[in-house]
Amino acid sequence: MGWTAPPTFTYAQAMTVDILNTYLRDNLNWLKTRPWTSAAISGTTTSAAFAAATASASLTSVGGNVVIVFQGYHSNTSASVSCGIDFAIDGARQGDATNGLQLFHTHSTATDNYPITTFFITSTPPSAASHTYEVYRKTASGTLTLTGTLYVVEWF
Amino acid sequence: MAWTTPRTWAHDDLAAASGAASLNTHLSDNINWLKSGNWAVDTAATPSTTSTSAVAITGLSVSLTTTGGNCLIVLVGSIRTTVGVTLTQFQWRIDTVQVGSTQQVHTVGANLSTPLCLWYFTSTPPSAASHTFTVYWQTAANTLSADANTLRLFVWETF
Repeated sequence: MGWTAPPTFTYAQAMTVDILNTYLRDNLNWLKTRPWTSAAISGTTTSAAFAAATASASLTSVGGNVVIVFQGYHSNTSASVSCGIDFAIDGARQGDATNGLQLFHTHSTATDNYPITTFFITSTPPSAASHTYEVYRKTASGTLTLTGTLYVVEWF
Repeated sequence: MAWTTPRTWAHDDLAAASGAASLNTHLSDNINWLKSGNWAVDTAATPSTTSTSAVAITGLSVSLTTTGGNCLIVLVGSIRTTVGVTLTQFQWRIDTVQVGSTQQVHTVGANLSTPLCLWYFTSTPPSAASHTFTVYWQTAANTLSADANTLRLFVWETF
């Protein structure tokens, strides 16, 4: 059951079964069960430029804006190293060209795990189609490990 | 398209296309409002402060006209301070009035990026009107800044 934008009704227009099922029942059901997906993200990188994590999430949306959240933890084989995280939609990164959505330094003790949460809402909605959502990350040195879950939901 | 509290329909109601009993107002517009949501975002370029008391983050302000629902407010990005591990604090403000408790964050170290993702959900909904949502911050010492173009403030009228 998909989303169908409600029409502008006209005076004395008959409320047919199709109208009620399409614009009332189906749309209310869509609002109750908005499209969403998640993907487990793991793996390492030594890249100093933003590079995609191996896993990704695919979501077929109907043209609305999308909420993207990553929640997980990071560690690095080197202490006090500058790292970055960003989201990409169909390969197009959403954050700042240099800094991404967040920068984070690993702590003074190498390999210790620290939590990280990243949140983003698209300002330009992805087209009504299937799209691929990815976590990009980088590290200035050492090997960065990023582990967690990527959530994507069409909300607006 | 605005949200209108749905009317209570009466027996033998005549569902007019406009006016008080309008299907467009109470059905189409409200369903579209639920679909499109009511939210806004602002991004701060390179804010910084040396203030040891709470001051507004420069260039980070969201104006949102709400319909009387509760709002989810999210601050995300990365910060740093010019000295070693330093206590920083963040306050949520609606129309300059603090809401919720002050958030405390220690930075990782001198000039090291510390990721932030702070959330607040209003338990008393702002009135149905235009409101200005801001975040105030302060540092215990020296300069607190955000990494360029990472600090974002999202405000979302949820329910």
